[in-house]
Amino acid sequence: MSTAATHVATHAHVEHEEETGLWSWITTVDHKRIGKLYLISSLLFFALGGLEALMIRMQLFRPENNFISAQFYNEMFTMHATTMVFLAIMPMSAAFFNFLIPLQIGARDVAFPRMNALSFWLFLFGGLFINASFLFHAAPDGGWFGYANLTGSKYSPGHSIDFWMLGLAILGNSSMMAGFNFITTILNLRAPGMTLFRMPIFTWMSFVVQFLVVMSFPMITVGLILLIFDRNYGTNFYFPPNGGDPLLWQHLFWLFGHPEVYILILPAMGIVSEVLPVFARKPLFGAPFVIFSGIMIGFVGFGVWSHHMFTVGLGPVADSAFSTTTMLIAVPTAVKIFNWIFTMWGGKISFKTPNLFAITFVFLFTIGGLSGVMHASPPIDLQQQDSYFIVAHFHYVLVGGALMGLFSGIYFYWPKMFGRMLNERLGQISWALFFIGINVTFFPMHFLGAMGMIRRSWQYPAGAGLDMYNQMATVGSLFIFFAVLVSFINFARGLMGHGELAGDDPWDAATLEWSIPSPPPHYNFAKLPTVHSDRPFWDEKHEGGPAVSQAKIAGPGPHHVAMPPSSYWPILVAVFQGLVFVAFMPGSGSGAFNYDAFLKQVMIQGPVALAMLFCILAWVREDDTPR
Amino acid sequence: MSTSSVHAWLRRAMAVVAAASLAGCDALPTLWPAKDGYPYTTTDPISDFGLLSQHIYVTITVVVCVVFVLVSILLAVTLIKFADRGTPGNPEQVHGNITMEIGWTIAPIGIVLFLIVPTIRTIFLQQDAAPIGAKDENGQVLMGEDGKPLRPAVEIKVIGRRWWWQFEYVNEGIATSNQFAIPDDRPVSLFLTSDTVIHSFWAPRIGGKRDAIPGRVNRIWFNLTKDIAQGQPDHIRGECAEYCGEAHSLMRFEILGLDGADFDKWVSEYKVAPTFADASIKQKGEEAFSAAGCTGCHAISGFAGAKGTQGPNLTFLGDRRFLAAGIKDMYPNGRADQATARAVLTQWITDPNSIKPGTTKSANASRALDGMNIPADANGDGILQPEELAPEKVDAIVSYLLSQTSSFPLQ
Repeated sequence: MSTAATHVATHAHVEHEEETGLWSWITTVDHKRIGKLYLISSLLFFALGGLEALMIRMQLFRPENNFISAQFYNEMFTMHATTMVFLAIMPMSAAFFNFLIPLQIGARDVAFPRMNALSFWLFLFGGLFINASFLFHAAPDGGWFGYANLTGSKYSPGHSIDFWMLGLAILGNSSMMAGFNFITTILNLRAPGMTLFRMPIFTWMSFVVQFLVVMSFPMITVGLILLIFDRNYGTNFYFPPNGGDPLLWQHLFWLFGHPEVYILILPAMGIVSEVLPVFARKPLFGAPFVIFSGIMIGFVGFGVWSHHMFTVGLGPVADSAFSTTTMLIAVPTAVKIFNWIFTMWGGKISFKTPNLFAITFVFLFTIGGLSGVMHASPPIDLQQQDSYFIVAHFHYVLVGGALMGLFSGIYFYWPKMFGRMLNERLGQISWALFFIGINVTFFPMHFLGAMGMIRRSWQYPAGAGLDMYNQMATVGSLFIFFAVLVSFINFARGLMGHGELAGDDPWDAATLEWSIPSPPPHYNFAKLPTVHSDRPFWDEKHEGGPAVSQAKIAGPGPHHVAMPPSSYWPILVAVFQGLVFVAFMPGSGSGAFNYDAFLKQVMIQGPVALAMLFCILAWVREDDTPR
Repeated sequence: MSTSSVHAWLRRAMAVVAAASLAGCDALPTLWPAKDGYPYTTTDPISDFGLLSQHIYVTITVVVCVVFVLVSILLAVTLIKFADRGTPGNPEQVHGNITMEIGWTIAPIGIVLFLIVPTIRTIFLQQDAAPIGAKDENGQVLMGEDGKPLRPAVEIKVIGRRWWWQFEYVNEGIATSNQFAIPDDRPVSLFLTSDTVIHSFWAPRIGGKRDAIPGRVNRIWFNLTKDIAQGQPDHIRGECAEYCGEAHSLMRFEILGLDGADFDKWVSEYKVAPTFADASIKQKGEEAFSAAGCTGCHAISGFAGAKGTQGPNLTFLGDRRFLAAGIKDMYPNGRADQATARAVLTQWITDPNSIKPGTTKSANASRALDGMNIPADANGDGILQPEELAPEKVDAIVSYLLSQTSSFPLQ
């Protein structure tokens, strides 16, 4: 690799353009490129999960329909949820963690750039591995929650659950690694003067999320390891006839699963907290309260998991305790909602596409939050649990909430990421289709639930009065399909170089990431700014504050900034680490310890693990001094 | 504002909430009344267990709707009032307001307290110890002269299978599958369990669901609050609410709500074996049933050879209206149309997967259930071909099963 000096000498006029080509993307350790990789791959998985949702809606268009088989339907809802949670919303959030956190705190990269690349490749392989199950006619069919003992080898022989459980284990690895990386980054790499309470809200919410990730993913990892043992070696953690208890899985899963809900929503809340102030031309109302309510949600989020289990019979004391903690989540959530509304109150609101999505988030998330208060009460939950009411509730939270927040973020940060504006008209059309589609699809589901329609139902009975609302939902899902299509066309146009040049600061925003060129040079900041407030760039532009923009403090390039070199060890470690998990496949599903299968497993796993170890050693010995 | 005027406002506010709750109480059930078209409504319960949920359901619905409307109005006003109209300059840079923050922290805490108190009360009421018998108006259990409850609670063990339900009357010694009867004049106590995977017992009109978990026994109990007239049984439908595998959505059950006297009669009829007007139906049916290997899994009272417990108990199958665990209506045109019932049962026997996928072991071994197959199905394709089980044998079995009726067939 050329030194920074010769690099500058030969490419002085396009100095911020790094190497191009496939190899440079495979070996990249640049957080912005990794962020883009996360964004594109999560959008592709999102499209896949959306098609699976359409299959579900097509099947439910008519009562007693036979459009797809029961088996395929079960695979569809399992893969739809697994894909949307682990392969679409989480990595879409990760795209923003990667791209934004270093820019927002005034850093040149994350703390561990190569580990960051490893996180991405593990995510991609994990996602591809789970979906590879379709090629083997063994798509997971146990639900995204994978309740034991249905996932045990007795009731799920074959490899469908193996794909799911091993894929999730790989993905958990990826998320935990990213979590530690971002915690370290935020704690250690902030620009001079960037105190914790001067950090942008998105970085704050991401900070909370990383703690949730590193504390909740170990739970599901433990659960999955026990499941691997049950399926491979004949242990009985979840198998009742031999003394196991399927509720153990439920506790482990929801101890992860409920913080996971906040892992999905908090980044979107962070994005909305960035977007609303910019388009109201005001600071975020009560920023410390928004931050503390986010922290509060994170904390309380670990004490509510059993509200997913009100029907399993934990007893009145447990039900009361978890009901109380669950309802308490409404308090920080309400604080956030009011602060967002009063951020706009007294402002000058412009309804650009990012803001439309952000306002929609506030409105739809309110609906989802309030219906959540209903089944926080166990007597009601007994009537709503596992009914379509729950489906309505969490789609308002996750589609109306998380997804709208993330789309707001895509439209808002696209100019910074790619240097060009997205088409405003297409954005507005997509937003309108989304708004209609989400409400037409998911609002009738409240009624279906109140009428007693169960979730995960391949067929519902004719003449039960369920037809009309199901048809509405299916029609609504087509609106969502076209909404996504229009946005994807918009993104594709953007990637192909359509759209006007964005300039450094297209929205007249307040934070550091807008004070550098779009797209940012690979070193982000030629000269690290000194931060004096929570809105440094706004203060420079409008309040006569000290300069933070690169144009003023660093002047025009070229700048000689040494950056970590690219490396192919992360992707190699990811490949071998993924294979270590895949090697559990041969012996799985037999339900008892099988010596031959175990031998087979070790024969594959041993060499692969050694190869991984070799790659890790090579990684350690690699010279990664910035140059 | 003086203390008394605060009180006056509070009283007025309470009156509004109470009025809204009452209006909700009346309005909610009528949204989806239980009738033939809406058999599963959750908003029109007919048991004390369900009504406990219903009261708090209505309260919370009203509260969240009011909150939603208020927040929406605030949001709408904000968006309209402060839309950018091109005036120059930046708006005033307001960073926050501590009083307002405290206000909208305390307000939701108040609402949560308002909701959590009745919630916890209801939780404990619903999970209280089950009564041992019917109670009088003062809540005292009615005792007979022998010191035992006059009308003791009916205790039923409910076992979730893949994908059907087994019901065992603990004190009466009756077993039935997919359809069972309950009285309207004494408590019903259900012991829920499973010997396969986790299921969830849910009859929305009776009340909330409870999971049937292998290795555990859960309990719900209730009194029907609806007064069922003698000779006019109520038909209450239910379903499995927890995902339990391939045919999860096709795992329903029927409850026959009976007047107390009718229930006693039902029990006395079910305690003895079904009688047959034509003895040859029984004889031919039992022969065919036995020869086809059905007795290995199914039990039929009065047929000494049929004691299997792996499959549904088929005693009084003629009482049932639905086959395959509440899926296939045998009498869509009423009880008079026996031909349809025969055709449906024949299809169910010879090609069960066409009615409910996954019922038998399929060709794909990875989808196999725990050893479930049809003994007579020689080639293992899940379909009984005429050469595997002769049509006249199937006919004999159909006649035998459909002839077993009590005085309480489900209309």
